[in-house]
Amino acid sequence: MKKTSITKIFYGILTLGILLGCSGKTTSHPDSENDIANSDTTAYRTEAIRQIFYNVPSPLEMANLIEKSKAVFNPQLLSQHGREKEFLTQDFQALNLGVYGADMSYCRVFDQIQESIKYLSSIRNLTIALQIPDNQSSIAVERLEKNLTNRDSLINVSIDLFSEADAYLKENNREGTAVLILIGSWIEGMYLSTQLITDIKRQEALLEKIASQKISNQHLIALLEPFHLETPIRRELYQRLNKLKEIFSNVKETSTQTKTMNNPQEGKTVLHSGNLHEIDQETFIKLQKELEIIRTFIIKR
Amino acid sequence: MKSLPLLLGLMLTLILGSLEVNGQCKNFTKNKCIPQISPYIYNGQMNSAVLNEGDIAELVLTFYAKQDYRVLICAEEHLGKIIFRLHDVQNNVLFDNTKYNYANMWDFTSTATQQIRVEIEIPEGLNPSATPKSGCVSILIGFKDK
Repeated sequence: MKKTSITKIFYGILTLGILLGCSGKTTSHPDSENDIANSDTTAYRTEAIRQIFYNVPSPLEMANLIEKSKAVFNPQLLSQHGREKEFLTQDFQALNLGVYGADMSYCRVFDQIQESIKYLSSIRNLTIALQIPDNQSSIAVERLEKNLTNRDSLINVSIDLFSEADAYLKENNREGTAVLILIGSWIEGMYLSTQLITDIKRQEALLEKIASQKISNQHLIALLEPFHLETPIRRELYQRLNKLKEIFSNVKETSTQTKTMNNPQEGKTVLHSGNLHEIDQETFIKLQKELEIIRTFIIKR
Repeated sequence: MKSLPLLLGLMLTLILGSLEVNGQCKNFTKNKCIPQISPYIYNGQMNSAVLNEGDIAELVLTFYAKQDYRVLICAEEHLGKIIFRLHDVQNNVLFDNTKYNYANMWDFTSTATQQIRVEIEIPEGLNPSATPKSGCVSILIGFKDK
């Protein structure tokens, strides 16, 4: 009996060792979704996470895209801050952490600093609810609450909060929770973007960015795949993301060879590319409706 | 059977060592790499790993149209010069740092949204009998605000 227990402990530790060893290793990304599906689960989880974190724009990047498209700030679209105690399960806490991250960034790029800080407080409360250790960022949030004018500090603190949470969850084998934060943030960013389109012909730039999120949608599905059977919430989200994928399949993609041109005056290179993502009105409306459904599912409790 | 506790001890040491290395890599990225992204804004996505001499790693990134970006490769000094290249979806080389004195960052903007593959290579040491070096390598992305 004793021997069996020790053997179990040994194999348990061995498995943990292998998992940890794999988590720190960088390898080539899988070539396709099929390759991902066929690979070893541990390697798959690690690899998918690595890949997706670079295929989904950060909340601030997404908000910047919205602001650049000359969209108008509309506070009615945001998820109400201060509702963090209503989210009782870890899945909903993680999803809404992502939602609040996107809303905070949206407020921030439109210079709604006071609102941003309220979202930041809710974000901090959700990280505590998710048992992500408190750190220097919390002290900084309190400082920001007292001094609402510092726009740059706001962004630094929010980036610290999210990167700390991301690193902590991945280090502690809670990748599924990290994925949900990412999904919440992406859905909210997409919801805001699609709701801000009032005239398809006049807002082509934002529309193209929405259409180009086809890639992010595919990677989010691949990321959630290993965890999607773990809870009913994840199962539902997985189905919804696949429904979005069906809609995105109508987005037309064209790619051309990229040419690089140096701009010494600005000290940077310009990549000239004819890559394009085109979406028709019917597809856009379907996308808008489906995003509204998923977003309601996330913020409803 | 006597060797089992020793083996368990060894496994635990390896696991704790792995956590320690990951923690050190995170601290290295936070303290030495993220500050180099400035004046670009760090996108908050930490991607770091401990790599060995001779390792090649690659990542596919999406960059959005008309947004200014900085790609930064940051590695522990003892690893020496790191090679990094960027390729478009058709595998054309867009940037090769060996042609730019092994620069560790590249600033660019793109006229269209596109996926770019970043490839990093840790060159092998000149002395094959020496213990292979390993160290933390981070790939960070920054973008310009507004």
